[in-house]
Amino acid sequence: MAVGFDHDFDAFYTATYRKIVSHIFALTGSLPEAEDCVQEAYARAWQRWARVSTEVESPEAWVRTVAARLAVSAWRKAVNRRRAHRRENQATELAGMNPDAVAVISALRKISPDQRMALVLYHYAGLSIEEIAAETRMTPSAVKARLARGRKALVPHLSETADGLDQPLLPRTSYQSESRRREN
Amino acid sequence: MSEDFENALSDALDHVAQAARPVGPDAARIRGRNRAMRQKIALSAVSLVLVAVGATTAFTLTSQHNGAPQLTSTTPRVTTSASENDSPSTAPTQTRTQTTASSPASSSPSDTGSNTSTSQSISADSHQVETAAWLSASEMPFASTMAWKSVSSSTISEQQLTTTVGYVANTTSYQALTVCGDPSKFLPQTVGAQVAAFDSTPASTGNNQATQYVFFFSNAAAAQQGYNWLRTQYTSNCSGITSTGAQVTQVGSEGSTGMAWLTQKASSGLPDLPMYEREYFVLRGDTIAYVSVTSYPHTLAKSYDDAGVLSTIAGHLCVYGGSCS
Repeated sequence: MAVGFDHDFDAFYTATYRKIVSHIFALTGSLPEAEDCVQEAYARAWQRWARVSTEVESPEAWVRTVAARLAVSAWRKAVNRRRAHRRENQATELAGMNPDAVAVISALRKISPDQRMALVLYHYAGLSIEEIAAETRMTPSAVKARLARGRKALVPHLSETADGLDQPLLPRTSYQSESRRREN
Repeated sequence: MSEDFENALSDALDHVAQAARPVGPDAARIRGRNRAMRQKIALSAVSLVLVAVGATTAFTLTSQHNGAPQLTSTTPRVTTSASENDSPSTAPTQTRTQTTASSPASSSPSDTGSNTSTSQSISADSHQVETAAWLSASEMPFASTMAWKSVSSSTISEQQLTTTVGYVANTTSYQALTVCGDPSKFLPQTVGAQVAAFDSTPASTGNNQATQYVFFFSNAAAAQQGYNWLRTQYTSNCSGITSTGAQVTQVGSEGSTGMAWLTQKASSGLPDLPMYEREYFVLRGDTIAYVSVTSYPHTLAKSYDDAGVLSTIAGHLCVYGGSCS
C-alpha cells in the first residue's frame, strides 16, 4: 500500500471516527458495541481502501453503512442481543449527558432499529431523504414512511421534547443538508 | 419538526462522539490484515479437506479387491492446522471426525438418549470436533417449521474448527450468551467451547436462528459446578427481564442434568429483543451442551416436545461419557 494511501486513510479515520460512532450508538444504544462495529468497518475499508477512497462517492457513508449492517447483523445480535434489555440503562451510563438527551436516547431504544437509523441520519447527520434512500438502498417514499412511523412511535416515549414530532415532515433542501453536515 | 427533539438528539450524540475513544487507524489496519489472514487460512483449510477427501477416494478406488474397485466409508481425517494467526496459544491445532464412538444420530428424538455405552466415551477436548456430539439440522427443535440450514463457522466464530463448527475461547468477551447468566462469569469456568449454528429457510421466514454450543470443563466436577451455576441464574425475572415485558419460564427438565427454558417477548417489549427463544441445557461428563432456537419475528408454539429434545441432545453428548443409560 502506498504511503499516500496510508496518510489518506489516517486523515479519513481521524476526521470521521467520532461522528460515525455517534450514529451507530444511536442504533445500538451501547458505546462499546458501536465502537467495535465502527472499528470493524474501518478495517474492512482499509482492506479495499484503493477502491473505497477513489470509486466510492462517500467513504464516510460506506463505513457507516457497513458499521450499521454489522450492528444489526443477525449473528452479531445472536451473541449480543441478550443484554438488549439492559441497554436502556446503558444510555444513562454516559456521565454528563443532560436529562433531555438521556430521554431521547432511551426513547430511541423503544422503536425499531430501521426507524431509529432513519431518524438519526435525517435529524442528526443531516442527510436528505434522497441521500438516506441511497445509503439504505430504499426508495425515497419508503424512507419518508419510515421517518413518519419512527416519529409517531417516539411520541409516547417523549414528553418535553416531543412537541411537533407527530407533524408531517418538511422537505429538507440540499442547502439545509449541507449546512447541517458542516455543523457536525 | 421539533427543534427541541433535534437539539436533544444532537446534544446526546455530540456527547457520545466526545466520549468515543478512537482505537486508531493503525489498529484498523492490523484488524484488516488479521481478517484477511483468517480468510486465507480458512480457505486453505477447506482446500486441504477437499484434497484429503479426493486423495482418500482415489486411494480406495485404486485399491483392488477381487479385481473390483471398492468404495469404503472411510472418514476423512483432517490433520491440517487451522490455527489463528492472532491467538496461537489457544487456537485449535487439529480437528477430527468421530470414528471410535457409535453415532447416536437418529432422526427420532425418542430413539436417542439411551443405550449409549459410556465405555466408548472419549475425553472431551475443546480443540477437537466430535461429529457425534452435534445435532443435525433435522434434529434441531422446530426443524419442520424452520427447515434449518447450516451456517458457515466463519460467520459465527473467528476460529474455525470445521466448516460448520467454530471454537470459542473461554476468554471471549461475549456481551451475552444465554438469556440468563452473565457470560463473563460463565465462560471462564470452562476450558473453551465449540459452536455450530443454523438459519431458517427460505430466507423470507426471516431472522430465525438455531445454535448449539458445547462447553468443555476440566473435569466432571467442574462441569457439574458450571451446570449448577446456570441453574441458579435461571429464574422468571433474571436480570430484571420482566421489566422489558419478557417472560422467562421453565418448560422442561431431565432430572438434575437437563433443563429447558422459554423466553417470550410481550408486544410492548423492546424491539431489539427476539419474540421467542427456547433454550436447552444438558450436562454429560466434562461437558454441557446448550441448544437455543430464536425467532425475532415469530412467536412459535408454547408447548413442544422438550423431553424429546433433551433426550436427543443427551444422546449426542454421551459421546463424552456421563450417565447415558
